[in-house]
Amino acid sequence: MNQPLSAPPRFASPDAKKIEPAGFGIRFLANIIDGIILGVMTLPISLVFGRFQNKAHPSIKLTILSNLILLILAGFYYAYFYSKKGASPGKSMLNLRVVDFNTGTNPSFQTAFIRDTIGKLLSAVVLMGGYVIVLFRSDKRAMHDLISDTQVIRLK
Amino acid sequence: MTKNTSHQNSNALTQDAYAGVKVQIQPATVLRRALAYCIDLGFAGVLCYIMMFVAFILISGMIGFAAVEKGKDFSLPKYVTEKIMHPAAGDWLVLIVLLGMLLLLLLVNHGYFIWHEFKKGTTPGKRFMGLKVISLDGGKLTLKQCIGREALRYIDCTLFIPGILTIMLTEKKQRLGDLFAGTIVVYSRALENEIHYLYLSRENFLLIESQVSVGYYSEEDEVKCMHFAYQYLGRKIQFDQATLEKWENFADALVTANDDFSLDPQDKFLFVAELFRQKSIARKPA
Repeated sequence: MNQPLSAPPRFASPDAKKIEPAGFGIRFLANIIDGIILGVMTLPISLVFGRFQNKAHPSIKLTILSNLILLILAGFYYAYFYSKKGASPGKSMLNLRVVDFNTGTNPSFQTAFIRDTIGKLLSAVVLMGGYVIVLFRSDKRAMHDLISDTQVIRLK
Repeated sequence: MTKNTSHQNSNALTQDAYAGVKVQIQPATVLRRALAYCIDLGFAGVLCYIMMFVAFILISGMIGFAAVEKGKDFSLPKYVTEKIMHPAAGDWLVLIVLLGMLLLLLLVNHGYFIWHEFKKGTTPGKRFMGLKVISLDGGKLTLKQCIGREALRYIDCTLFIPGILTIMLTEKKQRLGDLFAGTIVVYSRALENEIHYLYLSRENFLLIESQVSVGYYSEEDEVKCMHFAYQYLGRKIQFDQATLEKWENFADALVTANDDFSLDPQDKFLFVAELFRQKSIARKPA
């Protein structure tokens, strides 16, 4: 009907919301925040395990068991937040999102769970090499990102 | 002229959408509140830790300077640590330092919750979990209510059983502190949903969605479009002109804007990409 005289107003100007891969430093910071929150949430379990542990001669079995349980709980924490909200509390505070590398949607629960248990374990096993490669890749993906086919991005 | 009116209309619509969200009141469940509390406790704990650290350094420094002026010879932090490690040695100064630190700890721990609830209506943890605290009469909290809630946190959250039981058993899902202060913790959906939007902001998405009609599309198109959108917008991969035009035409054919609402073709493409993303997120099983 009424042709506008000038170009129609843009709702999302190209510069308004830039998406770019998140770097090493900011992801490290987000992980510290998440670590604090997870530490508080798993404190009762840690205390129980500490109660059973022999302080003078700590048993290796109990150490492995307790770490495994804490790792799985952390996996559930991350998987819930990544699949439901696209970011854990720490990441959300710094405007980071975890997305599927192909479609840009939130990763599924299983993908996020594998990313943060098996993936992070494998990244950490050789001198944190899986984390360090973030510094050298142009798409800033760590090894756990490559394994689960995700990417961490930063909204601006 | 027409442009102006359409702009005013759009403003009203977004406000209506937000008003509709604000009116909706739904009490929050136990698990969500517990998660929010854990997040808050983490932040309050870190604040306490930093304050204690600073206070410890300041106090040990002050005591050291006082000692040097009196002409005694001992190292600065060693004095404090030794006295605090062995309070039986007996020194009124140690007692004051300990009491002061305890007071500071309580101040930071409770101040965090009181300040956030009084000033903003939520705490960072609650905000992240999409919750807010409102008074039963619908308004903001008064300082008295905040302090009342905070005082009963010892019974509700530290012993945790009374809190969980009262949230589960009362009709409005209030804990003892809520019952005492006359407050209620509810979902604030606007906050909760803000987090999802990637290509467009929530406001713009809702506005465009209310002003356009979307045609038919197959599931295959949807997946392919999402795939292309993330490669193009997220990873900034260069595509040939034919592919770009193909998807812009796809979006153009799919979306038809209302009469007095003009929409840029690029915005149409962003809207379609975001629409498909939202659908795929909503379809995912919880």
